[in-house]
Amino acid sequence: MTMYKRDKSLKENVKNTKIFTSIFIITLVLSISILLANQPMASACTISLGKRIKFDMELSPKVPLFHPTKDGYFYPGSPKITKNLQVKNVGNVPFRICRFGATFYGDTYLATGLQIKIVELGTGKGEKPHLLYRGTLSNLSEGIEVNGKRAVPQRKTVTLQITVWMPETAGNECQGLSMTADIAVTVRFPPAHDGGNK
Amino acid sequence: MDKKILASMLIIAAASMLIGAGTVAYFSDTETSSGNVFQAGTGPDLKLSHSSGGPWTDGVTGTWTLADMKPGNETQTASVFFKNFGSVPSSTMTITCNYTVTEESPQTESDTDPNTDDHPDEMAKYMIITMMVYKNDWVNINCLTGHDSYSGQTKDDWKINDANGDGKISLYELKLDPLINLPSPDTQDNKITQLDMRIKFDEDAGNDFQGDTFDLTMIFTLN
Repeated sequence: MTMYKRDKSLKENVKNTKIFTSIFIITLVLSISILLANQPMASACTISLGKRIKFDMELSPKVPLFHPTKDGYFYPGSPKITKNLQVKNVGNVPFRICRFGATFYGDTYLATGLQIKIVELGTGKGEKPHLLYRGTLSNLSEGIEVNGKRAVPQRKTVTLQITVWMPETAGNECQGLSMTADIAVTVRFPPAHDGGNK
Repeated sequence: MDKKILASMLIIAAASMLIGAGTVAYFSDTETSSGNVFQAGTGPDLKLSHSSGGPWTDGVTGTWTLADMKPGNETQTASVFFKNFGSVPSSTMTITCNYTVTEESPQTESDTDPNTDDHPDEMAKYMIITMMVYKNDWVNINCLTGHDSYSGQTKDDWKINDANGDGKISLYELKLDPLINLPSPDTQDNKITQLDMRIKFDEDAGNDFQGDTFDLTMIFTLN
């Protein structure tokens, strides 16, 4: 009787140990997977099999996009001015557009009277542009988080179409103001999140 | 003992998993498109002159004068020139007027209405516009008929309505029915618009206005 009880207890111990070990291994594997996915250096090293990561982009054109000598003056209801800005992947890992910002100089109040729309143009035939931001230009000074539509592979380019206009409701307070804006585009690696509609 | 060790390891692993899940790290790269200049235009900024060559000011005075006027007297044709000095084009011009009457002092005995200054419209009804043309290189609009002789168009907006139907257009009627949607003066140096006008003190004006001074203000608005 005693032998039987001891044998049963031993079996239960072995069974529990196996269950705990299984759970532990599963948890450990999951932890390691998540950690690797969120640590770019580790994952990149794994992905690129030892190749050094070059994470870099360029904007084109390098000259200013907007200038009154080319575009004319803004006034309430004036024609919208649209320019294209290309974001080129000159590194060897993919990235995704994740943020816009702007720094203003001069009559910065003008930024409150101007609207801006930024869309990521499609690359394929019939692919719709993806709206990244639409709002007051001045809001860009604080930085706007956006979700780029696609991950941009190395040596590929994505085009941002930037449209600026002064709405008809703008008042006289913007009259004659002039300012300079530096528009910043930030991309991220890894381009994990797919913010766009494919 | 084994259970305790395993339980501890399990907790550590679970905690690691949670920390891993909550830690989202990215590399980022920022590039800037610099030196973008945005400039809001000025205007419309209408300036007037008595000459097509300027000087240009915000207002002109003494364009149409008739000293010691009697019923039937008429001014010479006089012109006001317009130019938009704003950096953005305007779309239309509006023309209207306002006026005041000043009673003479001391009162003339024959002035049968010593209070015309309280109701200047009564005198304005006798100030007849005998000629009014709004013109530049592209339009030549007779504001008494609304007809543009260059394009052949006729528009009610360009015509002062004869409110009392007497066949005469007075300053009172111009005030009642401003000229609207006239083609605006442009911002280019060589584009100057002018208004030619002549005013007559109506023959039918009676003694109510004897000795009174009629002060006319023409109002030009760019839209």
